[in-house]
Amino acid sequence: MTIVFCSSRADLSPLGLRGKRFRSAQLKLRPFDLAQFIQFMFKKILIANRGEIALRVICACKELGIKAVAIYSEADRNSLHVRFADEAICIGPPRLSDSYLNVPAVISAAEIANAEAIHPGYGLLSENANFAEVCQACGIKFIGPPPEVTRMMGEKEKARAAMKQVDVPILPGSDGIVESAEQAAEWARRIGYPVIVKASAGGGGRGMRIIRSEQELPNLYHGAQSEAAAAFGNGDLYMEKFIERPRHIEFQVLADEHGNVMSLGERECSIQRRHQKLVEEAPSVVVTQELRDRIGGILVKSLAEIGYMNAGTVEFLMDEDGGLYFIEMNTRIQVEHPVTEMTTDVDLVKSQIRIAAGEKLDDVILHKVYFRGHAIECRINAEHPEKFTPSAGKITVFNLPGGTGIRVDTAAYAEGVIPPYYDSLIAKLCARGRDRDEAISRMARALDMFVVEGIYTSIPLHKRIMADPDFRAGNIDTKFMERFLARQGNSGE
Amino acid sequence: MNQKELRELIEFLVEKDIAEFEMERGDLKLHIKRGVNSAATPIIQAAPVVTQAVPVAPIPAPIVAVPVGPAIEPAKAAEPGAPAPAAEEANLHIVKSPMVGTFYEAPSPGAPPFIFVGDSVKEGQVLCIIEAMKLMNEIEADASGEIAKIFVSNGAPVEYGMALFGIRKS
Repeated sequence: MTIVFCSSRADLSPLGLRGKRFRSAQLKLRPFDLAQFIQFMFKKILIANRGEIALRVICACKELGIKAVAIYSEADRNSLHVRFADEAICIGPPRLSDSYLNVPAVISAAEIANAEAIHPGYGLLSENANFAEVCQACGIKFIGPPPEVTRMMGEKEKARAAMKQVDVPILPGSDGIVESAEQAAEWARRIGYPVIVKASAGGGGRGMRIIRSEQELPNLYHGAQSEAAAAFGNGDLYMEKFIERPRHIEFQVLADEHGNVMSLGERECSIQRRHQKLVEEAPSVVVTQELRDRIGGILVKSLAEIGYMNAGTVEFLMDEDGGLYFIEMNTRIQVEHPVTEMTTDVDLVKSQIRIAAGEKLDDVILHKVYFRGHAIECRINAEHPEKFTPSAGKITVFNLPGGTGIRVDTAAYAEGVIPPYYDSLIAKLCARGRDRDEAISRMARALDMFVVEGIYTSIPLHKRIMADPDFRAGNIDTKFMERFLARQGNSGE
Repeated sequence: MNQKELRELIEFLVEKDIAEFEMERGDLKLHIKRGVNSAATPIIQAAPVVTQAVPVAPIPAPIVAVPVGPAIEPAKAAEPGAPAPAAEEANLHIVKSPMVGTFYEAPSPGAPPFIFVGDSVKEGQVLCIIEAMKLMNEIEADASGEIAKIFVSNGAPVEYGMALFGIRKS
């Protein structure tokens, strides 16, 4: 019997297996079985990102024996990710749109470097379905889900509808766009006040209004509509139940390219200021094992049905009664992935790469995943700890904390310059302990020993959060920072 | 001692057929040895130059080489054209690559190159092609003058900001 290895997968072509004929003789092997004996792995990956996440991916590549290609803008010439990559290509001037978001430049760099795959990191092009399609068209493996899935999850309404169809609990809301104030009132009666209307085409707080009674609905509805039209060119609104004091709970998932999905537990990210996360932790004090298992089971089934692949995070809001409601899914690795890694012993970025190379989940995650200990992450930003103004410039002193249970992910270094063109995250300080109390005390100790001079950082703010009684008691929700800053005497926002 | 002075010194030594030359001036120590009767390149040994800035050496294969050490040295953010080899003459205008891609000297394989060293070019004249994502982009001269140097070879990968041509402006 002759077998023709006829996979059309671009990622298998470097092995020269496409179109090859094999004799199977006695064994009657199917091509599928043959693949088991060949452990394909990329030889070279281009990292379409910068800063600490680019360095994180480089770490994973080094551990897997894969050559890492860095891209950089002129402002990042002296960056650590450039320093530690095997190859580095300058792709443009400092501005994001001319460099890291410049798809032709990124693809061109992958082509001249002969990279087989691209890891997009987080932010930037990581959830850009068009970019994923271009990679596909150019025969470069995009390390992430298929473009159609990314596209669907990127449109909030479609994502809600898709998740609702596969029985993931979603926040009660309108079925699609609310066409008029009258319709809005109808929906609000059904959902129950308070409700919130949101712009379908955008986010970040614009085109949103909280409506607490029928009387104030018409004005607020029209206000949200005009704001949405002005901000996003599209005045379409949808409506959701509004939770006064929600907790932000998100679940980490991993899916291979063979239909297998697993849930790696939750993270709580309720400490946010203006929708930007400041502190994240795993596990959440309000998620019981029963809830974790139940939601995990639902996600495993539903994401397999949707055809999800690679890493992803499903975000929920938890109401005052402990009910979880789906809000959106991020189809990429997240900033706060370390707290999951520290409590599950799973290397998420290496898993992403291995999944993209075609490995099955059972081979990637060899052991049963246990959740052990408690981990907290503080996002150290280059900004004034009280005024929150960005602080670019040269770091003159940089002493990293160490010791038991501490992990720091950073691309900053002494004498390095933080450029003004990019986001202000300079380090992720993570602390792990046997339990939440120990994690907090380790974090407080580590913050005390984290010395950064030359720029302002949020370290003083994080120290105060760790010392806060409500935080220590686990009495937190997404309004925590508002109350915290108001108490500190700063203008609340 | 800058590059100009060094070049003049070497030319002087060659002209006078001096085999060996040694000099100490402040922190600078210079020892030049020439192969006599041959056109051998002088071996220049300079002690670590503390007072004078050493021009950035051209990184031979910018795509392959990791920029060694810049992360340790005091970082200079946004240094335009840092990978460009130091201009040998004061008024050499460097034409830099505006994109990432593959450099081609001719409009198509087998065709004669667009320009040669020594050619006179006008601003706007097509000098080469850079291929990016299967698209052939014509790169135009941004200055008029004589082509003094071509820094890249046919088919070589180029990155953004990399030096392509040196034009002696007229």
